[in-house]
Amino acid sequence: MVRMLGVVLLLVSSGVFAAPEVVITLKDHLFIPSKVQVPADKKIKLVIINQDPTPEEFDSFDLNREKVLFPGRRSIIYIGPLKPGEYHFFGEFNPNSAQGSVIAVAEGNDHVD
Amino acid sequence: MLINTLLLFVRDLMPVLMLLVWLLLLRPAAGGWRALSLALLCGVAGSAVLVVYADVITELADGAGMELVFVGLQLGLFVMVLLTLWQPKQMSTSVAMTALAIALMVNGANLIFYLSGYLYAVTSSQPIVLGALLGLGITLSAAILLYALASWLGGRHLPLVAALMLSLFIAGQLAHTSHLLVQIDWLSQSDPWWNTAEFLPENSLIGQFLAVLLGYQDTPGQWQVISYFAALLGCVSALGASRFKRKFHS
Repeated sequence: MVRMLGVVLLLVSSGVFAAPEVVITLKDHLFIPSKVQVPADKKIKLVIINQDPTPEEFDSFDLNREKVLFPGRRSIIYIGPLKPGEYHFFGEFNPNSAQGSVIAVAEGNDHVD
Repeated sequence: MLINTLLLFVRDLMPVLMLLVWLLLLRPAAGGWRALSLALLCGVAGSAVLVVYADVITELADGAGMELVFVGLQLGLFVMVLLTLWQPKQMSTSVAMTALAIALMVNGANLIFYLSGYLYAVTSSQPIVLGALLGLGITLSAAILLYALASWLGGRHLPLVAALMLSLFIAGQLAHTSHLLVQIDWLSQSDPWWNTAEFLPENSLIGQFLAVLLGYQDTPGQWQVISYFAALLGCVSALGASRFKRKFHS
């Protein structure tokens, strides 16, 4: 029992169960890349790096997430598990330019139906 | 931007005013000018500290720093409210005013984050100033109206009404806070228990108002529902214990 617990702790600490990571950069009020493909039914770690000198807010009604992105800083948001489909997000302070979407794709599919 | 700024004031200023209204109705003596001024000063200073160190805080705990700070402060606010409900008659002014200072610290910092974001994004600040003035007017009017209405309708049950409204308020705040823990993966994500976004979106003026007043959410997940009712249960228990203690002693 103790040995099994040790193995579980080792797996957790080594990041075996860590959520897949997706990095998005915010530059000149644009999310780059603006479309990211992620596996459906899995938790995803979104890493957003704000390279602009001004703050932005990552906002998504589809993903039910909002977080202030401070200038020059790296922010983390977990999303999912998501059903296959497209989930829109935008920058609250620059909604006309800062737009993007997360596309959740079922395993074995290369594109969203 | 005008509407956004207006909604921002309802979202972030209304909770502070709402808390003040229920605390004043629960115990008018808590609102002494000196205590109130000190609470406002501490709240503003706390907000300023959060704003100044926001970029550092946000990267702590693998990017979960800001969420954890907000959750910690909201839990502190919840404890202060429980203490207030547990012994409203002997409620020390310092407990009530600490609650107010915490609420101001959290919401004040949020208000500054978003206002600065809007100001950076526009070429003319006129719509933001107008939105801020309108938002300020609406929230202040709503708070005064609520105070007058509750005083008038509450009658001799006013302390109980204020205590119940305070319970609904803090339950809503905690439910909202639990979502921050989902966002940083400290709590698991779940499908919404219901979806009323089409009938009454939470980010509309009425939606925001109801969110602050009663803890309304248009698409709550399981942790939001659980934390809402757990907080409500805690408040009702504190209120019940307070009444039992009073009866036992009299």
